[in-house]
Amino acid sequence: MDLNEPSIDRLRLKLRYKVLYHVGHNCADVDDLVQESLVRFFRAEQRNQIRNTEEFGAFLNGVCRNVILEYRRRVRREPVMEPDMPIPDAGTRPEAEIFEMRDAINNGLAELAERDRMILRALYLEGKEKEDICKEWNMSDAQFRVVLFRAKERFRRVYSAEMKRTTASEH
Amino acid sequence: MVCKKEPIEREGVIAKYLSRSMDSEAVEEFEGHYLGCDECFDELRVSERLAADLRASNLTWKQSGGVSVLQFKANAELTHSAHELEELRREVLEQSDSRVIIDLSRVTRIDSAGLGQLMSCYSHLVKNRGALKVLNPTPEIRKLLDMTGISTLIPSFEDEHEAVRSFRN
Repeated sequence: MDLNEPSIDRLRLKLRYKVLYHVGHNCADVDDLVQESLVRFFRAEQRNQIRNTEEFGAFLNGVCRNVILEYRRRVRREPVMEPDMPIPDAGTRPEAEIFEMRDAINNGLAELAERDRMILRALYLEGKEKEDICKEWNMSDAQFRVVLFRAKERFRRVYSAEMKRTTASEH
Repeated sequence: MVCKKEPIEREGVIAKYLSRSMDSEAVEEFEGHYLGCDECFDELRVSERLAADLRASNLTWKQSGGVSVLQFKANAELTHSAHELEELRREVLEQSDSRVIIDLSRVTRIDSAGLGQLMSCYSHLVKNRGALKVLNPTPEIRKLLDMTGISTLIPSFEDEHEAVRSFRN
């Protein structure tokens, strides 16, 4: 396991994604939960408590899950905020991030056919199985694959550009 | 392991994760995998953007006289499982606009989750010294807004210009 600075940043990004998935964007403590997970993970690594370092993702996932569970228990125990206390706005996505998302979206699927859009919606938003979608739209596996990968390819380009921009701004 | 699967199968796993239709055990397994696998994490992020676009596609945003107007491009439901609900949340609660009109003319059904979301939007905007108004609700939706008392807090209008002008009063 190589724990240099870029790989730690990458782990932080992944953990942030997982934490947001479970606690939502309105949680003001996301970064604290990520940091706590990383600290516990590195401590375990230094003490050689990670048996299979090749499969460290599962271990890190367990650490992060415990951190989230402990956080939820703590939040339940703590008294609710006073009604006239200002609501923290840290859960709101930063404006630059929203702007970038809107920008990416405008670049991504502007020219996508309505039929393709409906097929992709069934997969990504309605959670339908590939087989059911193919049956419903009377299409073969190969046709489904083309729709899916054509759309993903456009977004892969947007994502790569975003990652480059993020990396450049960090240095 | 997810990345050892056929690409289309992997996409199925990612789609289930993003649509939250995966059981908790499978979520754990997938998260344990992507935390250690850069390739699958990148694919997940790419698909997330794709899903964000698909979600956004039914709700349009425009500015009219300094007021944000949100309109559905096609018929929409503001119900517990509808993606429009999440999109509405993102467009109102995560933006800095404080004067918002939601055009309900294409909303065909609304349930308690949808009404709750409207009230969350209202509270959020009032806290930010703004206001929420709705435009052209169908008779059924209007009846529901009246019955629940929401119409006393969120006024509805039949004309967009009139609704925009009402923010100046």
